[in-house]
Amino acid sequence: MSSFVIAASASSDAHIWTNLFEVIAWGLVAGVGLPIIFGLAMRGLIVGSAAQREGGRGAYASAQLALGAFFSIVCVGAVVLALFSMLHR
Amino acid sequence: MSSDLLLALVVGAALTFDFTNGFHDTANVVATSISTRALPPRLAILIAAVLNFVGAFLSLKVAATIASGIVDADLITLQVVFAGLIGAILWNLLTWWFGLPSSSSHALIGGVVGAMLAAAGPSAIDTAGLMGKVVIPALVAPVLAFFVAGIAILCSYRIVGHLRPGPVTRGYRLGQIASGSLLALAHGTNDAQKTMGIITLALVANGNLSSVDPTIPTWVVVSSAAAIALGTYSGGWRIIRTMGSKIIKMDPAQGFSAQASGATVILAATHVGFPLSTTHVISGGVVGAGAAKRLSAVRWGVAGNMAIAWILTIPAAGLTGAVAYGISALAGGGTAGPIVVCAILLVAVAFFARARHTPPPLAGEPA
Repeated sequence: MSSFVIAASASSDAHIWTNLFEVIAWGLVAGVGLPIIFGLAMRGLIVGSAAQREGGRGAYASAQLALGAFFSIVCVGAVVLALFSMLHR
Repeated sequence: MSSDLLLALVVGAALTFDFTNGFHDTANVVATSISTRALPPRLAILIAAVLNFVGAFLSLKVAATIASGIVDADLITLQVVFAGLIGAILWNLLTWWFGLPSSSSHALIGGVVGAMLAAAGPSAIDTAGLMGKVVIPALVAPVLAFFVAGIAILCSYRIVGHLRPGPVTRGYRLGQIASGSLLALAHGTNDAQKTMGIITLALVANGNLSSVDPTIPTWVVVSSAAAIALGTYSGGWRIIRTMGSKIIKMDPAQGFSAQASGATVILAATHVGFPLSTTHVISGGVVGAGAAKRLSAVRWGVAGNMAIAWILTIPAAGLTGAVAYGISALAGGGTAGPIVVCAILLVAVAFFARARHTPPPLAGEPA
């Protein structure tokens, strides 16, 4: 049986409501989560760079930059994971 | 021989539809990036075209739904597929002419359902499949994108609202390159597959593929991906204008939220095989991102016109598909019927091509 037929039967069974719930749940989690994580990454990087430029708050600047870098990695990782799971379901 | 000629006509019509789909839906993908000046227009369209092409290779679940879950594949004929495609193409051209971001997907499904109704009656329609996989997701998806984009922009403003606007704007413009790219990829995964599903239906109807085990040939995947990418690269400036600046005046944070919410909802739907209207989802995101900031920021008149086009899409494309099937049958069916319909369509296309002088360009937009 081809992967096409497997996909067809999976999409034509009685699981429409489950699938719809899955779309709503993932749409909400990822659609709201991604902008929040991106916002946090940007905030860390912007605040950290500003503090670094002003000088005198080395630890604070480093912490903010580290947070910014961390959230940036989480953001990219979430997108890569989502695409990977799409390809390998 | 005549059967092969008819099949070639159907495949040609399917790829033409795919081209108009890319052309029509370019706006969904690039309008927000262009209107917030995150990307120059031509570069935005080039990136969208390339990622639409790539996205078409990521999944086949939507193609499976189109090929097997909406009409009875055993009753379908090449004439029905052809008439359905004509209905969808004409509706796409009409809505493009009026600058309305209507759904190419619903036009396609409406066209095929209308032609099938005219050819074989209501028993040939999988009503449960149509409701569950098309109508209900069609109602839920734009509302979901509306709320997701609205919540996302409110959270974003809370997180970065007190920062200096310059770096924030630059950051979101940079983010829009990524979110716009993700949206283009999502669009390719969902929309290119619809054409693959239709060509597969035609190959089954012609006996080239078994209706029990219709594996999609590689040439179908590649040609569908190429047609949608070419259509996207051609760009539909009229709809870009509506999506980019006529619904709301967006800032880069709103653009990012609208694109991210649209991309995630479309990818989630593709994951489970729903042939979603990418247009509805992205429009829902754009309106949600605007309304969350200020309700009066949304031009509700334009949004209302879009909603009317959405409601009309399936019945209008269905009616056109049924009429195309009727004309084809009156002209003798077989191969002659679709050739007559083709001739009528070419006259219509010539009319639209003559009128393809866009209004004065947006700032930064090529003339």
